[in-house]
Amino acid sequence: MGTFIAVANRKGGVGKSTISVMLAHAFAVWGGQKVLLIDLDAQSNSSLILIGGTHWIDTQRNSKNIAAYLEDRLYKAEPISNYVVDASGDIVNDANQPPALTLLPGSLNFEDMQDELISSYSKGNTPFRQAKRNCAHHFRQALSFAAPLADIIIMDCAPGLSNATSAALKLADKVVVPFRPDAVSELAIDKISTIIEEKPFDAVTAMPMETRKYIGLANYVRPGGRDRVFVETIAFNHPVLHAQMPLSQDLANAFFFADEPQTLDEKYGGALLPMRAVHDELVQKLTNAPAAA
Amino acid sequence: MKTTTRKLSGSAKEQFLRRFYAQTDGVDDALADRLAVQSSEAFSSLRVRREAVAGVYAKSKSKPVSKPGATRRVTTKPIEPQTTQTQNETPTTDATPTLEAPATLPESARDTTEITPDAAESSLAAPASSVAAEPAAPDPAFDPYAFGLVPTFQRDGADGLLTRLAAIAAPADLKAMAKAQQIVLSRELRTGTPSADELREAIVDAVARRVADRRSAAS
Repeated sequence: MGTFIAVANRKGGVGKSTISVMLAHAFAVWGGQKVLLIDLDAQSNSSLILIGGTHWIDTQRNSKNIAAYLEDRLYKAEPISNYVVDASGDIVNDANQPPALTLLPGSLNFEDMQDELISSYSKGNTPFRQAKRNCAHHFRQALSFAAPLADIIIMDCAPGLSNATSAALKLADKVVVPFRPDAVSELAIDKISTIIEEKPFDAVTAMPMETRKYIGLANYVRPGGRDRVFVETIAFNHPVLHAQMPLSQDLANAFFFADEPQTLDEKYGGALLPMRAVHDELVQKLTNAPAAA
Repeated sequence: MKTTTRKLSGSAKEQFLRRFYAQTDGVDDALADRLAVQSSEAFSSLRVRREAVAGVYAKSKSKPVSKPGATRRVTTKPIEPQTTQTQNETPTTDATPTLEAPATLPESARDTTEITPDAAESSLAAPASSVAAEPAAPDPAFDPYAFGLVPTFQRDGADGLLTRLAAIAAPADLKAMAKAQQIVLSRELRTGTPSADELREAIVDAVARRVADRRSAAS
């Protein structure tokens, strides 16, 4: 059964979608694993990066997307696989073969659909809190059906704390929290840690780092002391990957969908090394294997 | 009849004075700024000969005056001020007001010899009480990220942070470190001339508040 990895941060613009896609590529190509990316963000950035705008529009027209799946589940037990599309996109592995990468595409209607779901669960004088719990259960159950579909299921969460994001955080075996090295990120990661661990902040910080469900990933890191000090500040209270993603034009360029398939080396260029370091360290954390000497 | 002078006040006055002083040999931009500010405070308005205004700005176009704080030196000769004045000149009906040199123009400015920084400073030196000493600039070799203020406090406590800060002697360096790491000090400390000890204590207090604020925000 698959390992669920949520990529989440309430703060927007920290690179959740780009990190989600990067990890999907890394696990599929370097790890040789079957990977499913579930796009839980109405902005659908990870979907657009993986399959390009043209194919993404098709998934909206054909109702092969997360909103359609979750809504349909209210009325009928449609298998999740009916909504999943091939997402090998513009990537080939070293054998020049498309990797085993699939996508449950995001939808612009996702936020409205969540509101409709709560409204639906609120009928018959059901208290709002109960309706929200029912909705959260609905999401969690629906997402859990993805377990047999892949070795790694990556859930790209929307900024904020929607019902879908809450469900993803509960379902996840590991939560990757990308953050920018700045003062506001300190506050964001403090707060999301309490939501993920379902404990007050003091109780979270008292937990040994290696037992926590989440791990921070410093993103858009610039050389120099400024960012180093902020990462150090965050790492004092939270588990943070030693590997970091730099502020990189190569990484920014990697997320334009290419017309022709390319290797990871061709796609990510100078960002490949840090991407490999993040992947390797995350694999070690997921498997609890001892760190390389 | 065309007017021969122009009245300057407010920012136009200060701008003119800045350019006027900056075009004097031996007066760098920083000194020109100070002279302009002090002169501007002393003179409510200026009447300047039109050709002088035109000359100052023409020279500025060919050698633009830098913003305050720049160190580039300008080597053009000073514009000779008018030695006679027409203080009682009646306002003209021309749309452009007339200009004349102020009666209180300092001796050094009346002189046609070059204004040297020392002469300019001594002639325009204001009473010490009305001009605050400028805080020293931080050492450019100082690394404001040499160590993290918040992580050090979290790891070693207030005493530990104070001990590490003790290795930084210059107040300017302490201020630079606080600013770089977004540790907010009071305006009085930021703009005044506090001692290094005062700054160290204030930094420790501010870091403690920052850590407490984070804990509150996460609760």
